[in-house]
Amino acid sequence: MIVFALRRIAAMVAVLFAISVLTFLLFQVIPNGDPAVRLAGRTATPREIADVRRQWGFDKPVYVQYLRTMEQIMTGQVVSYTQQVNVIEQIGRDLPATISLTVGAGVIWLIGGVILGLAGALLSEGGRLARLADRLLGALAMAGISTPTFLLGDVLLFYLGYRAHLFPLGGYVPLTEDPVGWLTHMILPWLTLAILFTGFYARVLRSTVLDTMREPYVRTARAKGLSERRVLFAHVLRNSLLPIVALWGLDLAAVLGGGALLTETVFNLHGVGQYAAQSIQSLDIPPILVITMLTAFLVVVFSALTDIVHAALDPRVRLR
Amino acid sequence: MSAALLAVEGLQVGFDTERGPLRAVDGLSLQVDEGEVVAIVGESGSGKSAAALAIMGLSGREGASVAGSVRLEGEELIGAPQRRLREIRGARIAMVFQDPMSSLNPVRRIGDQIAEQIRAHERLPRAQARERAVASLRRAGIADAERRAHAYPHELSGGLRQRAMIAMALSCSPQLIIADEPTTALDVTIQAQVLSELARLRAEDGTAVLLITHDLGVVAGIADRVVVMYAGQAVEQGSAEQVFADPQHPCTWGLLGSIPRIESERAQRLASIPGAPPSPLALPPGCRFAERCPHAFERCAEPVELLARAAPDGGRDAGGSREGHDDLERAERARVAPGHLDRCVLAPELKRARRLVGGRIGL
Repeated sequence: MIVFALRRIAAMVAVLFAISVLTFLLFQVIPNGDPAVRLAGRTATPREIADVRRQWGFDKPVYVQYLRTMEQIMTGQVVSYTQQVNVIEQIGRDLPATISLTVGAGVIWLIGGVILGLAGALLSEGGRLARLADRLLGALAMAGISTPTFLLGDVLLFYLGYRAHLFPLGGYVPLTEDPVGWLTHMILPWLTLAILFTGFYARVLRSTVLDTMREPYVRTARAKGLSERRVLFAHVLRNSLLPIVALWGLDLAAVLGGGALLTETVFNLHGVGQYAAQSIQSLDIPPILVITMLTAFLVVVFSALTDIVHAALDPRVRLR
Repeated sequence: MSAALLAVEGLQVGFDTERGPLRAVDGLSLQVDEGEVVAIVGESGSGKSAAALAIMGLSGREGASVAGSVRLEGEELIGAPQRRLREIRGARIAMVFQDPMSSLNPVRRIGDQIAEQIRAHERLPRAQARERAVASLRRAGIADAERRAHAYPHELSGGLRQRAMIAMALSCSPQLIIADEPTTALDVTIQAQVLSELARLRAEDGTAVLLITHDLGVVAGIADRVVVMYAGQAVEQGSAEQVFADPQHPCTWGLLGSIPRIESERAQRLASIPGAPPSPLALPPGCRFAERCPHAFERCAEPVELLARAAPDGGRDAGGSREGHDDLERAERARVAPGHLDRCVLAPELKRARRLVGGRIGL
């Protein structure tokens, strides 16, 4: 366990270093990326630009700039170029919305994916009508996977929000201020984000369940005289959930780290993803760098957590 | 004569494949009495495992259609409701599968998997079922049973895993254990241990065993009766003594000839039966073994029934003296060698001569 933790921490340091260097370098070579020009404003004279460049240290060698930025990030002093606000504080303000979105949607897509995937697997083993229903589920899953988030989100907003007045038209209300408001504001974003993953998870689980059903140990379970329900839940589903759990941990990390930017933007949640999108538009390196590193950090942490859960569920897995 | 524990009659197991219907088991009849060990022997693909699953009522799950009759103490199992079959499976007929690694759930503890079976059949508190599981492991010859009960399948050796599988089968004290190639996945020394374990349990508890194997050598020590299967049919059946001492069907000769012998004078190639079994999609109308049989002649193209054909006294004094009295002759043979049936039309004296290859039985 200690070796496992040390390994993962070492991996995290390596990943954070590599990803920050890459991101930093990327914005050095992007055309129109000179931050001094942007900071100095539209009507700046070359002299003013040069002043800004010196003042912000953009005239220093790249590695010095990199080290300075990293130092600012680590001490929480990093400031964005465009709005000149503290990036860490800004992300801290945006994170609750993103966490609300991710956790809620994650639970919905996990449960929805398992139910639909299991239903599909069972139906595909049934008669003609059942197989037809399975196809229908498959088509729905594909539709869910391939419907663009901005389309689905806008359609939901238009019909259920604007027309039917069932839900508010976007925005985020903190859970601590108004739990009911939080819930009503989150339901549509949750559904929008979850539908994509639900379809995907349902497909994965369906095929895993079908594979597991052909395992000899499932035949053994039947030979023991267990009820079909017991065979299905204690043996087939129990073992089919292993890959789903692994998948879930990594997907949660990616969405937490800004992967839900489309959903956040459509519903104007002011989450981390939306912040990342805005920062990319204005080529604002510090927030992009911090959010990228946050994502990488979350992915590494969540994959370690996932491995721990996986090892608890599957004794053949050793933590290394 | 004691009543049959298990009576199988005219068992048919068919599958609908993309290339047409296929008959994996074609009219198998056999009987297992209480406390008896009956072996079904055949090459892979001869239908023996399909027959075992059909007896357990598990082949419907695998997409097979089953016909014929399987009776356990007179109760018909084919067509019986699933609820009734579940009561029988694990409790009265238990099964030991070929590969204990893949046949045990990899993510659940051995003891829990056994306790689960006990609790499926008896209303017992969890702790008590677990104790029974440990006792069952001990009975299957596992030392340190408490600790092994906490182990996962991958933490045990192959031999221990198969003992655990046997312990699971034993846990509800079944009347019959169907062991499907129980030793195939094990190395030879462990094979012997597992087989003697089965023999010991049968001697101690009177549990009947239906042993399914491709290896006649495995059968020799422990079976009371033997059924040799080929291409879905029984080609020869009788007491172990009859089948080993006076084998009637060339397929049996081939199987006997392919048992390695330690007393072979020099290193020899292990004998094997040349060729491959016929496609179950296109079975010949006559003897199904004829294509691979060096002794085949014209009559082998005609359908052959499973009949008492063995001559009395191992064919030693059977001449052609009673030609024209086939029925009488058969009745006489059935009296002298009761229950020894085969599906080969060669004359008994010809069989006696042709089955000897280099001083021992072979093909």
